[in-house]
Amino acid sequence: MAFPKPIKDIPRDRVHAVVKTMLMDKDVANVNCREATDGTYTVTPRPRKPAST
Amino acid sequence: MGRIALVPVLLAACATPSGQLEHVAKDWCLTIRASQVLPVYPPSEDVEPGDVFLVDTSLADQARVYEEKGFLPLDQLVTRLRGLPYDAFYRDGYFENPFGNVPHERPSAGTSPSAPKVAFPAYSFQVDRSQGLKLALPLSGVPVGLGLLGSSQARGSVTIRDASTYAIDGETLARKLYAWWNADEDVRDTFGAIARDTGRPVYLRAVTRVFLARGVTVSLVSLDSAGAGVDAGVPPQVELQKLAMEQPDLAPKAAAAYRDALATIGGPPGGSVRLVQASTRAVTLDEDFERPLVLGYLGFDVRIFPDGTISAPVPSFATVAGGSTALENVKAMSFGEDSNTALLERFLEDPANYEKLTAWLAETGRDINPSDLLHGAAYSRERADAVAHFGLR
Repeated sequence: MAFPKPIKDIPRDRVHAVVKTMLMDKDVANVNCREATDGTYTVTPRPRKPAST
Repeated sequence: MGRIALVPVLLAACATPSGQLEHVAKDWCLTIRASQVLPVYPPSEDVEPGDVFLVDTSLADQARVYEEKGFLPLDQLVTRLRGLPYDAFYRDGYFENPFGNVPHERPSAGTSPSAPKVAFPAYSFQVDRSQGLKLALPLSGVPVGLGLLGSSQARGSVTIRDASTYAIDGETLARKLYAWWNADEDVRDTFGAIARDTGRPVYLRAVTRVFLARGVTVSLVSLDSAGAGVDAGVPPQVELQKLAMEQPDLAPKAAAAYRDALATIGGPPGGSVRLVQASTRAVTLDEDFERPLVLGYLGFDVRIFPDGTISAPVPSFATVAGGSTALENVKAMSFGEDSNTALLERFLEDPANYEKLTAWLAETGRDINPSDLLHGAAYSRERADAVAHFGLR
């Protein structure tokens, strides 16, 4: 399955829904949220580090 | 009479199991890949910097295909970006050079290549007739050498000779690629539609550097405790150099016997095999390609998005080396929801349904993450399909 893409132009009141869905993917460790000048947000998922052997 | 006796020897050398034949491409490509070069298989003359291929395997599939086959298929040549400024690229970086604008003078068989030289390491392999080649190579010199040795076990090495490379810098090529992409609306529409309709990631792979070779040297050393050669027609098992010193009158006959054997075996199509050295237990052959062949390349990929835009370049080798997700991260998708998003969000409140949705996406060939499905502006059709499939309301 594809890794989640970053999503831009998210209205403030919908950021939590996007973050919640992204974090349901077990390969996503955390997400970064960045506010743009127009008040929308870009949410970027970060992958888990591979387990060290 | 002598030529007939050689036939079983050659058949034995060529009678590899079917599984062995399947490994030819992989073995050769892994050999080339070991030099940090993406292999071109089969080696071909007509691959140049500026070539752009359409590749429709997803990132995960690319890694899998690379593991299975050892190379990335170059499926469809989309365009050849022309007018690459080789003169500017090589102005300060390579001696006196005859590089002008394309077409530059390609290396040819009769002349010394003007392209910069490159050296590949020698690759060793072992052959046992009862098991087949442990390293299968698409080179005529290997079975030819085995036939001459008349040996059941041998150790060998392959040296890529007279290799050269030329390239254009990635930035220049990326600019050319974007200019080509942005100049033609039909191109964007066509490939955007392919990206939408296939439901799988689609990439353009641009070649920035190619590696050519004009021939290979194959050396084989027999591992048999006692060499063969009792059959009539097998070349005399004597060391030519020693013979030439001690019995000069016999040396021409021995050399002629080897030449006859080579003539019987024949050379590869489009090339030739030449005996360089022979002794009782070893033989060395030069295999020349009629024209220099491209053995490998370097390049970058750009992903085509369903809306007809393309991503930033990502090196092809980085893509296959570690399952990089860089391509997935290079461009953020636009947020876009509809009434089906709310239905799917309620559906996913049960964690078990997340697995169901993931499975459905995979079953229907959609390389889409549920997060993208719910919140991506480009996936309204897929959301409607999912809502219909799961009967949400």
